[in-house]
Parts: sequence; C-alpha cells; structure tokens
Amino acid sequence: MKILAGGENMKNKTLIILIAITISLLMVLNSFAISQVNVKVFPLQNSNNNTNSTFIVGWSGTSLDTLNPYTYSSAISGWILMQVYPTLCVFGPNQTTLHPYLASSWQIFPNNDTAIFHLNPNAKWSDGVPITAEDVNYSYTMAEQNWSGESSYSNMITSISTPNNSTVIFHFTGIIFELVALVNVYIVPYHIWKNVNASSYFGYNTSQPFVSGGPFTITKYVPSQYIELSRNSNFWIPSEKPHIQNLIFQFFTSGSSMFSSLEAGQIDAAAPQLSPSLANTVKNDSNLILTVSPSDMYYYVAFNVYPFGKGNPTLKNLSVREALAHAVNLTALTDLIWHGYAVPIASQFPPTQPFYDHALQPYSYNVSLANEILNNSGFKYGPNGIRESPNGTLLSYTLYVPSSMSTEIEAANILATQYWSKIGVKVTVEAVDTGTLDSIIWPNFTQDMDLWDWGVTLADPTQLFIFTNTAINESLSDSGYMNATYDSLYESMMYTSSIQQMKNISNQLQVMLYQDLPYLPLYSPLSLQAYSKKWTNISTDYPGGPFGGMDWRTFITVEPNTTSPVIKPVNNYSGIIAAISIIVILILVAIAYIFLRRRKRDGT
Amino acid sequence: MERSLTKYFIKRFIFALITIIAIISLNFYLFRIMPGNPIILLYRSPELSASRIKILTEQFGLNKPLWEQYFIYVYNTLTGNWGISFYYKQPVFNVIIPAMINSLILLIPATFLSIILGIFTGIISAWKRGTRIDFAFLGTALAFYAMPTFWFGAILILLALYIGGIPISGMYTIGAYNSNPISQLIDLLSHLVLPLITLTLVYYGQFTIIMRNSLIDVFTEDYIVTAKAKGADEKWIIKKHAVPNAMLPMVSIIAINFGLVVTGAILTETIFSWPGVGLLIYDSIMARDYPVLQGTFLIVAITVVMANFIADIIYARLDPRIRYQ
Repeated sequence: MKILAGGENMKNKTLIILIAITISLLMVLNSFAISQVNVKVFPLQNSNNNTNSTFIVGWSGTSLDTLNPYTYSSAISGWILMQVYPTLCVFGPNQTTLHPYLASSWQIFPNNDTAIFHLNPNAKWSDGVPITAEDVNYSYTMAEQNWSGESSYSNMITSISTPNNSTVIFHFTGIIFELVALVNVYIVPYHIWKNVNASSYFGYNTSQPFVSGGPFTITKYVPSQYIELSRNSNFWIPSEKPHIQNLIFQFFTSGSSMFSSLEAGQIDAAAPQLSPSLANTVKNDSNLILTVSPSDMYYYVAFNVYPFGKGNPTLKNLSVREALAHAVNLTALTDLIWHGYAVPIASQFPPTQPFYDHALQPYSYNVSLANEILNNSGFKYGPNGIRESPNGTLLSYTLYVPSSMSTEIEAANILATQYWSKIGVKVTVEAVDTGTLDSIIWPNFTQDMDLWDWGVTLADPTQLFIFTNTAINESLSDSGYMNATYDSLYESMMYTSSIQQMKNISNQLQVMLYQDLPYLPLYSPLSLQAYSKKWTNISTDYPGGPFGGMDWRTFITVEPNTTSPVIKPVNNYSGIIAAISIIVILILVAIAYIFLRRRKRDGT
Repeated sequence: MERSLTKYFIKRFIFALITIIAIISLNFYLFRIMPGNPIILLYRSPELSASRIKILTEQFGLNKPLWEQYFIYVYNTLTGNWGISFYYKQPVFNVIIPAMINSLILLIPATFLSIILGIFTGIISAWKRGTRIDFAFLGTALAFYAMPTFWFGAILILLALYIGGIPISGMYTIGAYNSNPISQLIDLLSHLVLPLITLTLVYYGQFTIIMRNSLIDVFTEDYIVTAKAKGADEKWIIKKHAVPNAMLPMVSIIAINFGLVVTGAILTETIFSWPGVGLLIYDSIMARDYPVLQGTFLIVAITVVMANFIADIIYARLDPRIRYQ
C-alpha cells in the first residue's frame, strides 16, 4: 500500500467529507421523494373512492384563449365553458333532439316567431344565488353584441322579455334560432358580470371564487399548463352531479408527448385527436381503451374557380375538374392515409351531419373516363407528357397544404404522383403555414388548388354559407365559387319555417356543389381518442367522441373502474432519485476536483 | 488606463442603446411583413361575419394606417403599455412573463451545466490532444451537438417510460397537492430532469469545441513554451497560463448563450410540454399575435444586446488591449 503524505491525507479527508455530504443529501432527497410517493403524489387518481377522484385529460389541440363565453374561439375554451355554465337546452347525441337543461320546458311557435322558456325553479349558481330570467336576458343581450362570437346566431332574436323570474320570451326570425341559438349561448351570472366589462373580461379572476352554474367550477388556472375544475357541490340537478371530485385539463404542445404521458399513467385521457398510428398503438396497449367516433371534420381540395382570380385558368373549366375527380380512387386514398379511420365523402359535411345528402356518392374512380373527358374537351398531351389547353396553357398546378397537417401533405403528394399524373396533369405540392396560405388565397386568389379542412357545426347547415358569394369577401371561400342561384337558395333556406324544408333546400345546394365541383370533398376522419382502463362509464355516442368537446356528459358519468386492475404500477420516484443523484454527484465531484487542485497548487 | 475603460464603457453603452432603438422599429415591421391576417387566422369560422371582422379589426387597431400603428406602438412601448394579446386577450406582460420565468428555470441551469461540462471536456481534450481521450471527448461532444434535439428528447422519453417514475411532460405533477415549498421544489426538479439532460448534452458540444480549439492555439504561444522550458508543471501551466487566455473567445459565446436563455428552447419545450417562451413565440407566429411577438422579441433583443454589452466590458477587463481600440 502506498503511504500517503500529510497533504494527501488532508485531501482524502476532504473527499470523504464531500462523499458523506453527497450521501446525506441523497438520503434527505430520497426521504422526501418517498414521502411524496406514499402520501402526496397522485393521491386522487389511484383512489377507488368516487368522491375523491381526479380525472386528467391531456389536450394537444389549439390553446385555451379565454374563458369568456362571448369572445372565445378555441375548442378547449368552449369545452371548459360547457362544464361551468348552463345553456337553455342541450343537444342529444344525434345533434337534432333538444333536451332540457336550464329550461325545464319550452314552447316554440314558428308561426308567430315566438318561443317561451320556463326555467328550472331549482337552478342556482354555485354561490347559492338563484339562476333567473334576468341572467338569461343579460346573457343573450351580451351574445347579441357585435363584438360577441355568438352574434351571428343570436342576432336572429328580435326581442327578449322576462314576465317573471322563471320565464323568458324570445321573438325571433328563422328556424335556425331553434337549432342553434338555444344551445350556443352560455348563461352567465348577472350579479357577477354586471361588475365587469364583458367584452374584455377574461372570464376568470384569481382574486375571487368562480361562480358556476354547471356541474363543475373552476378552481385553478395556470396558463399554458393546466386548468383545474372541481365538482360544483351546489349543482342543481341531483341526478347529474359528477362522480369525480376534480377534473383537470393538461395542455400539451405535442400529440406524441401527450400520448407518452398517457402510456406512463400521468394523464387519464388523450384529446382531441390521435393520429392513426397512435390509435393502432392504443389497440395493443392493455391499459388503454381506444374510442372511435364520428367527427365534425372533413378534408377537401378547393379548385380556384374565382372569375377574377389569378390561378391557372384551366381549372375554371368544369371538364378539367370532372377529370381530376374521376382520376382519384378516394376509397384507396382514404385507407392509405387514415388506416381505415376515415370515410370518403361526396359532400361538404361529415357524413354524420344530419343535413348530409346521402344520395350523393363520390365521383367514380375511372382513369379512362377522366382521360376521355380531357381528350374530348381538347386538352391534348404536350411534348413533356403534360396536357395543355387548346390555347397552350399547361395543366400544371400548385397544390397548397397547411404545413401543420402532416397526413394531408402525404395525401396531397399521393394525389399528385399516383392519380393526377396518370391523366397528364402535373401537380406540385407546396406546404405552407396557414398565415401564408391565407395571404396566397385572399383577396386575390393567386392559388390553383388547396387541400384544407373544415370543422362543421353539426346542428345546422350553415356550413353551406362558405360557398356563397359573400363568403369570398369574408375570406372563407377558398374556391371563389360564385353562383347567384346558389346564393338566393341559401338565403331562402335560412328563413324556412320547418326543418324538413331546410333539409330539402340543403340537399339542393349540395347537389349544385357536387355538379359544379368547385371543391373535391375527400374524407371525414373519425375521432380517435384514448383513455385509461382505470376509468369507466365513458360514453362514445356523441360526434367528436367523449373527449372532442361536444359531449357535455362525459365528466358527469365517468367514474373510477373498480373492477379492472390497474396494471401499471403506482408511479415511484426511483428514476428521479437516480437522475438527481447523478447530477448532484457530478457537481460535487467537480467541486471536489477544484478544491483538491487548489490545495495542491497551494502546496506547490 | 481607468479613464480609457470608462470611455470604452460609454461608447459601448451608446452603441447598445442605438441598437435597441433600431430594434424597436424593426420589431414593428418584422411581423407585419409576414403574410397572413391575424383576424382570419384566429377566427376561421363560418360564423365569423363581415361585421365581426370589422369590429375585431378595429378592436386590435389593425384598421389604422401602418404609420399610425407604428407611432402608437412606439409610444406604447416607451410608456410600458405593450398592448393586449390578440389570441389570449390578456395584457402582453401577463402572457410573456410567466412563460419567460418557466424558460429561465430550464435554460439557466442547462446553460450553466453545459458551459461547465463544455469547458471541462474542452480542457481535457486539448490537454490530451491526439490521444484516445481527445477523440472520445471530442467525438461525444460532436455527436451530442449534431443530434436533433427532438430525436434525443424522444429517446429520453422512451427511456423514462422504460424506467418508470420519471415525469415526461409539464413542470409539475398535475393533480398532486404539494403541501410545502420543498415538496413543490422536488416535484419541479423531477420534471426538470429530462429537458435539462437534453439541453445540457445538446448544448455542451459547442463549448467543448471552442474551448479545445482556443486552448490548442494558446499552447503554441511563446509564453507557454517559455514556461515549459523553465520546467513548470504542465497542469500548472494549463491552469495559470493557458486556460485564462483561452477563455477570451469563450466569454462572448457564454454571454450570448446567457442572453439567449430568454428565448426559450422551442424543440425541447415542445417535446416535454414545458410552457416556456419558445413555445409562446411559435404559437404567436402561427396566430400572428403581433403584440405578443413584439413584446417577446423586444425583451429578447434587449437581453441579447445587454449580454453582449456585458461581454464587451468583461472582455475589456480581461484583455487590456481592448480598451485602446
């Protein structure tokens, strides 16, 4: 053994002290972490006691923008507001039947454009104040303001009167009122909101308790991280009181990161949409349940047919558009891109929309017919194998896709290379961010085609507004389709007096779009979501799925699953301890190294 | 000598001030030349009527001529009123500051650790240049430096899933109620583990390379040869003569890196859902949220300019020749 000099002994002593400090520190950290595991961490998720359970939903969609029911635009804001504010009525899963909520009964008199609502006499806010006709009147008045996001619906209301505290009488124009205005306007507490500026109020203030009229109340909001809701103990419908105590929406910026958290048991559900590949992963995970539901979305290709537009003029020729439609095998494309989790469509709605015209079928896949149409219309092959019009314009187009839609970029490339190239049409795909795409299209329509999506209001056919002349100036129509007959028919639809009449006109409008083909509807993806087997009583009968923001009862019915074993172990902090240990050791070793070197230098 | 340092300080300060004034103007036009209309982007909906577009445009002040918007912006910036976020409908400060604090919590330790690791491995690599140790240290540093952040982050997430128990997203355990600051701190530290490892390892390579190259240059200087000729201990030469001189180029890069901590780390923040300023910038660009973008970039620009200013001063302190330039 080497005999150590006095200085070396001192160094070793220092080292031993540092190691002792390290071990002590680790032991302290360890004891803290273990106490966390046993007592504090996830105390609610793993409890089978319904009254103490917390359900955590991961959300990777558009960020929460505001909690003001009159100025919000993001889906997550709407979903949260649905938990805390009542509406007069709610839609059932079929999106056509209205069910009582704040209004226990109502009578609608279309002939004299009047509706009378009788409010539930037991209704009260979470602070104990009764919900009255004054609250309803105030809420609808705010919704009608031109700064409100609900104004387009509620401006069909011509007047509101409140003969007593539990009765509200609306005078309105058009059947749309019955369909949408009733369910879209959240009723807020007038006694709270009268003290704020409704147009600029964020909707939640940490300095005072949130006053709710729904099954939950907001208890904490940490921007960009999460929002916590707790059961409203004063909720006035005893049968609809939630089983869970807390509901948390955790915000994720990456779908894959959210999914990893679900797999790790750190969240209980993933929303609003999983990719098809992740859906397949869920199928193979014994701890998770995949939900597959119809969605409110669809994808399309818009052809620039705007008469004053600057795109390739050959697309204004109906024959070209027909040939392009016949050249696409929509079923194969849908399966390839969405792995069976989407359905091909023939109209401008998802197929579950009550106004979807099921008589329409996608254009048949027939390459010979597509070539024949182009040949007959004088579009001959040029020297480069690309067809050209009789005046020499090449059938060469640019197809724009939002860069955020990876699956649709793939779809656009398949359309270009596997389908349209076979009929002598050259298509170049360009992925751009939505802001750039927006400026390419509006107001000058410089694009040829774009592949984009729409989320649709399921209760009414207002989606068909997008194809009117007015929608061009409002930067909604990306085809620039102009048809005066269509516009007048749409206008008449908005003022029909019966649902059936509305449906008939809606079908006529869809047929016009199908024949004129300013858009090629592609497919409607299914809503793919997942949740942990630790939970049960989650319904999948609403469009958009249980975590898509449309099913208002998801968090009322959900409860811990007492029969299914939780396969994943309770989270422990061994990994953290290991990682912290490594970091601490590295730092201490570095300190020790510097210290010992200094001593050596002094010695030198 | 001190007088020249004061003169140098004033000169650099004036330059920094001019840069900030120029940035304030650029900051306004930079985002407005981006294609896209924030109103249409925020509210792409059939329910968005022309009248509402008009109201929102007026509300956001986008109906005014650009020059008028510019003067309003300059006045508001100088008076501390940075406006209301188009998307979040809250004062810009309320949106930026929490995100910036979150980024600092992640990036300050990551930058600090990567600098220490980089300098340490750079010194060893230079000292043992041409040996297996040099190749190993340099190779590892280059490998991490070249590694795509999102890929490396994804690998760590997979590893964490395999090990179990390591939080893979967010800043705190959602649903856990930390009863005291220590448990809250431990919770934060546990969430910091993966993003911190990712950033430290991805960042440290640049410091290793610069430190190694700088040190190798210094090794060829006459005073090092002289010290060796006098029989001085090699480690002592490295520590007393080589490293201090080799640190000069490091000062700038360290200052810039510390200046950039306020910009966040967009990829790392995305993959670990860390609610920092990098993500805020990305979301704001997508939504064309001009007030948030202006506010964020102004803070970033001021911080970077000030960091450079401080670097210049430190440089002058370390190298007396600078003061006479």
